[in-house]
Amino acid sequence: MLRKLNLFRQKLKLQPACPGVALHHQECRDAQDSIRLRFIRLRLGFVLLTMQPSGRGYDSGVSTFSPDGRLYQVEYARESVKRGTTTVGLKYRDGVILIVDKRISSKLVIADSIEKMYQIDDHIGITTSGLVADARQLVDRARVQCQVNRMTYGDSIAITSLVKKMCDHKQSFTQYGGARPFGTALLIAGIDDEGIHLFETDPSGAYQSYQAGAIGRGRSAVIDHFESSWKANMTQNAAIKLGLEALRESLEDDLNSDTVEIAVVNSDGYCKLDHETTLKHLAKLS
Amino acid sequence: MNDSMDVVKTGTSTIGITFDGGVVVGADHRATMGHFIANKNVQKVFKISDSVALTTAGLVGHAQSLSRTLTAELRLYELKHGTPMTVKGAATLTANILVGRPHYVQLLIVGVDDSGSSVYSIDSAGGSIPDVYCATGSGSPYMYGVLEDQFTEGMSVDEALRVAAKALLASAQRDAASGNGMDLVVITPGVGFNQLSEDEVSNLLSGI
Repeated sequence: MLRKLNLFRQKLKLQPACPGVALHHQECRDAQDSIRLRFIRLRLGFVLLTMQPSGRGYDSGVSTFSPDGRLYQVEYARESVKRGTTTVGLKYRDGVILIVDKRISSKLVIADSIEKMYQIDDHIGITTSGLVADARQLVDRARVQCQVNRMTYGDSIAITSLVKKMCDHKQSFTQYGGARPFGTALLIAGIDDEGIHLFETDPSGAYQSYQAGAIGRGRSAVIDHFESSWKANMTQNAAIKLGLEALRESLEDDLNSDTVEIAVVNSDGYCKLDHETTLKHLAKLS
Repeated sequence: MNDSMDVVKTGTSTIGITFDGGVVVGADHRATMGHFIANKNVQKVFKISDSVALTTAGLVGHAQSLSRTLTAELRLYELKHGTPMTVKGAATLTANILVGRPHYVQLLIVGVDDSGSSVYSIDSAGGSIPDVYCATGSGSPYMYGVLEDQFTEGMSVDEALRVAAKALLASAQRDAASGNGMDLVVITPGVGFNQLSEDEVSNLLSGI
């Protein structure tokens, strides 16, 4: 069994490098060129090999830079976020709205069993996009960090502190070998003494604060919509409407009332809207 | 440690009573260092979740540390499982912590869950015993006198509050390490953790 596995591994490792090299040698032999020309072709082949967008040769190790300064594993992790479900977050007058569309592939799936939106502490909510299993690890960690802060300092955690802690953790998976980066982006929404916060974190551990943002497959469509329509000091209902419109913009089908979830984070804390209220907000869309 | 004057101990009277549809939890306000009253307004009833209270007797440092840990654990449990920890769960968790690292405390874990209302008394080495009512601290013998006489099954919330207040009043009169007023809390499934205001407590006491 172990030998088989090793053989399989070797096969996998060799596969991407083999065809290119073999093809190149074949060409050389067929052409019957001079040694010098062959040498130049070989070098050209090598350069092409390393410049390929797939990052061939530099994408097997997490902590290996490519010659042009890229970390391919981190970029691949970002790809898994780009394929993830679209989730939306936007600030309004009193807090932050988070909206996700769970995008259920079959009517046999029970929508309630899919989680994309998590309460982290009284005052913090997170939505995720990308690998759900990775997200759950990060969510667990975030929840523990919040309670550790309460135990250590007797106070709820500041949103920026939590964001930095989570990003430190994600970053460590881009610098040390032996594990892969998280294939997950987070939208972290919260309210604390310093005000209302909405952060986006990506698999590299980079973070940015937004007035209105999105992660996942429909990100650019949502951002376009927000850039033209988001205003400061919206009411809660107006913000939910705008968020839903933006999310709808990014989808091919219409919004499915069973799979849309809305959460509000304001001075009362985190609150996920119940199904009935969600339906009311969906009905207001034209 | 027993005779040390250096540490603040809550000589203490705390009480937990179950009644039909909820629990009443109470404690006095006094902290002592030997014969000295170190503080006249100490918190000994801690809200560790919406439906569970912790009362503490013993070393203040150990008690406060435990209350921080338990609050965090119960909150995490609720977030992870989507449902609050049961009273039995909280008591067992506390007992496990104390078995691993004994604290100089005597605790009550009191609360409500789907199985009804319950009181658990927990000793410093992690012994956990369920009961329908319980008293802890140096004032407990005086409180038990009241409880044995006045506790009945199926009391209303007002009756239970009255018995708790009477018991705490008795220990304040006779135990040198208890007194300086009291905290009273009612926990019911609908309302959750409801601590009586100072006015409500003094109203209750004036009727006794």
